[in-house]
Formats: sequence, C-alpha cells, structure tokens
Amino acid sequence: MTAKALSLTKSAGIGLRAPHYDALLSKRPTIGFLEAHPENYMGEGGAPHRALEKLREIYPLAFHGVGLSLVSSEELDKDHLARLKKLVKRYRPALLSEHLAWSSWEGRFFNDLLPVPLTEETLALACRRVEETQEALEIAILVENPSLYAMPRESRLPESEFLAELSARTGCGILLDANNVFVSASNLGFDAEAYMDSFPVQAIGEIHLAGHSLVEGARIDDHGSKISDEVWNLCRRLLARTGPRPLLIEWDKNLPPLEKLLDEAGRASRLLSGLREAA
Amino acid sequence: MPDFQQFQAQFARAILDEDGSTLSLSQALFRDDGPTSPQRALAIYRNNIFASLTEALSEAYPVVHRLAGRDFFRSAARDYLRDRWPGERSLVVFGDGFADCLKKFPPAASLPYFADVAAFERARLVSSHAAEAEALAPEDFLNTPQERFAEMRFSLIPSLQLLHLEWPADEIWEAHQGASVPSMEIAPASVHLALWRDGGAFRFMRLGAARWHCLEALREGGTLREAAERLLSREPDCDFQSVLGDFLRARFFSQHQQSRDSRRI
Repeated sequence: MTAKALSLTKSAGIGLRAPHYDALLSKRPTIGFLEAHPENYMGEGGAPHRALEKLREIYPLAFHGVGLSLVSSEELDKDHLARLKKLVKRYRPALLSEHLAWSSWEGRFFNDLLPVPLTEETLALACRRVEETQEALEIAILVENPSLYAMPRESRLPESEFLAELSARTGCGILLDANNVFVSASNLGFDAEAYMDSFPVQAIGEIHLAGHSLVEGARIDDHGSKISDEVWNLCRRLLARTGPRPLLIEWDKNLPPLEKLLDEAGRASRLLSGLREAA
Repeated sequence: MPDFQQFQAQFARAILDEDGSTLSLSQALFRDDGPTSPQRALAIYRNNIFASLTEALSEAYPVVHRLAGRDFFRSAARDYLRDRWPGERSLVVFGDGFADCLKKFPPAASLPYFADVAAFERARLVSSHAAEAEALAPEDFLNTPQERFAEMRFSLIPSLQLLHLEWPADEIWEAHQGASVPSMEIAPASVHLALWRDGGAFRFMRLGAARWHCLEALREGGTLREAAERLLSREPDCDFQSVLGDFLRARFFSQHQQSRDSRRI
C-alpha cells in the first residue's frame, strides 16, 4: 500500500507548548506552522484540546510524535497507535513525524529517544515498523535522525544511508534535525558538514533546528537555548541543496517567552526568503 | 532480531541500574573509539531519562515541588520511579500514586501534609484532563414528576473529583499560587473537597462531611433516595432539596446518564 503523502508549507514554524497557548490565541502572530507533540493531547479533554481546536483554525499544524518507540524489536503498541490515529483524524495535521529510535522496553516508557544499532537487520525492521505505522495511520510519515552520544557497537551502516534506504523502501519522508547532526558529529567524531553534503535531499520533508548545551566536553541535545551558529550554518548548507523546506524551531526546556521563539523563527524565515530571492 | 533485542535489554538494564551493572554494560553497548566514552554516553542517557521524568513529575505536582525543594523532590521522585516506572507513552496524567509514595518516604515523615497536598494536585491534574461533558441545569427538571425523583440516579461530570484529606491541602495549595512563599501555620484539619472544571476553569470547594458523603453516594451509582439517606444520617436537619439545588447550580451532574438508569428525565 502506498501511504498518502502529506506536505507542509515551506515556511518557519515553532514547537507548540502549553505556556504559549494564551499568547498565541490573543496575539495571533504570523507563524508558518505549529508543531505539537501528539502525546500532549492524549488526555480526554480540558485545556490542551480547547487550545488546539482553536489554534488549528489559525495555523497549519504538524504532529511530532515522541512516544511510539518506532524502531524496536518489540511490536508497536497498538493502543498508542490507536490514540495517535484518533488525533490524526480529529486534528488533520499537515505532517506527522517520529524518530529513528526506541523509547519503551518491557512495559517501561523511558521518555527519551534511544539509539538503534544501524545494520541490515535493523533497517529491515525499521522498514516493517514504518510500513505498519503508515498502514495504521493511513498517511506517510517522516522519520527523524536522533541525537547520539556514542556509536552503538554493532552499527555498520552510515545513518544517512540508513535513512535514505528507509525512505526509498517505505515511501516515508525524512525529517532532518540539523542540531542532532551537529550533536552526534561532535560526540561521535564525524564531520557534520560532510554528513550534510552527502545526505540524499529528495526525501527531506522538514528540517528541525534547536539549541543544545555543552557539558564537560559532550554536546547534550536539550532544546533549552538559542540555536548555535554552527547549527544555523549547517542548516544553510543543507538548504542550498534542498531548496526551501519547512523549518521548525524546537525549544522545550527553559521555555522562553513567545517573542524570543518568534525571533528565532524570524531568522529561519529570512533564510528561506533569501533562498527564494537567490533562485 | 536477537542482536538488537539483546542490545535493548542490556540498555534498559543499564538505565535502571538495579544491579549496579551500568558501567560494565556500557562497553558492550557502545564503541570506545569516539570522543565521548561509552560510560559517559550511558551516564548522559541515564541523566536525561531521570531528569525528564523528574521534571514531568514536578509539573504534575508543582506545589509539592515548591514545598519540598529541588533536592528533596528529586530524591522522592527516584523513590517513586523505583516503584512505579511509567508504562504509558503519554505523560499527560503521569504521577499516579505519588501521594502514597510520599506517605512511605522516610524523609517526609515529619511533613505529613505533603501527601495530602500531592493528593490535591493529583485530583486537580486528573480533573483538568477529564472528558468534556454538558452539565444538567435545574431547569432540566421542570417537567419531571415529583414521585420519580427518589429512584433517579445521576452521573457526575467526569472532571468532578471527591477528596477526603486529613490536612488543609486546599489552603496550602492556594497559598502557594503566588510568586512569594508564604509563611503559614499548618495544623491537621479534616477536609471534604470537591474539585472540578467549569468551562475551562478549575474550581474546588469544601463541602462538609454530610454533603460530601451524599455526593459520594451518587458517584457510587446510588439513587437520590440513598443519597438523601447518606446526607440525613450525618445531618438530620439538613434540607436535601436545597443541597441538590446547590449541586445542580454547581453543574456537578452530567447530561450523560448512567446506563443502568432505565429512566430518563
């Protein structure tokens, strides 16, 4: 089955966080799109749903899943998929993304995106899980590269190759997180620019930008600060090859006032305008 | 997929570190030829996981977090996670049973009201994410014959939570909503509370024991007659009609009636 591909406006968006609901609804600033974690809308009712109902009337909406545990040797959680499907039907997001990662094991949810050794076997497994997800949700999804802190011992395939092959075999798109590339490159010791230059661009449906911290020599992907210059540069480098793509500012920790988030989105938006003018 | 399965099992074991095996497992999981060592990488994952779950718990229990302070709360969260690691992949109503955990947490033994504040915050969280429901209004009963009232049953709105606590957690909670930390005398006081959502707004009030037990009887699926008996057994002089009117005006009853009730309004 070929899952229906979705697409999002090639503009700059921001991650949707509850403390910003009121400011967004009262000020209605210009934003390309909002990206929500569907897991935050898995309650039955209350403020999150009230806000999202109104916000989706104003802004295009993307869903960015963080709890599916997509690439795992355990089966997909059917209940979680069903809840996800219900939200997709209700809110009709323009995109739905998940991660090349697992997050649950034997009934315990770790609330983090854990690494997958990249091998021919896990590639076949990832394809199966993406197909199962797309079949269940009846839409094509995007899969994001995770941040890594060390290379799993059994990894054999380069991440860019793994993702390109996953996309080619399943029809899924790729969400490339420029901050994650920078964080992984720094922690694992590979060349982030070479990664960007070699990445097959056709499948890239969205680009994420976020801040990270530097703790005792290791880069920690914590979404808790401004985007670093290195990450902006990587993004610029990639956009030169891809052309305009939806750009998303992720900032969840030490959440700043909405204005500061909009400043970052403004910078992303100017990057896209620059590309269009140059074209 | 035995290799990946083994990788995940070892990784999970290293994160939980129930047997002190984190260090030895890190070498099996990760290559050691990169700038970040396997031990360091695993420590980062562990820290990220515990920090994110502790933060999620503190968002569910902001006043307990404020009362306890960061270090105390973190240690209570560790205790909680040992007993009740989350299974759900959505943390919207994460934190079930934290009040019970605080009751058994030795450092909280001299702070017995912590558990009741946690129970209050838990009820508030559950209420705030409960399903929407249209409430019954007093006018909905204008055409109901008097003789049918006694055997009627009501469903309460899904957001309504009933709590009986030994400490004035409602006052403590309210006093900690501002920016400054108040100094307050905290003495034991039995309180019977209703917490609910009215439109988008969170509300709570003290009901008094008789009214609380009356509402509890309705929540258990009892008839109005049974609820009245529960009320009058505690307060023989109470006017049940007026209590019922108060409940209706507070919009406690859902239009969605219990399925076992064959009678409709």
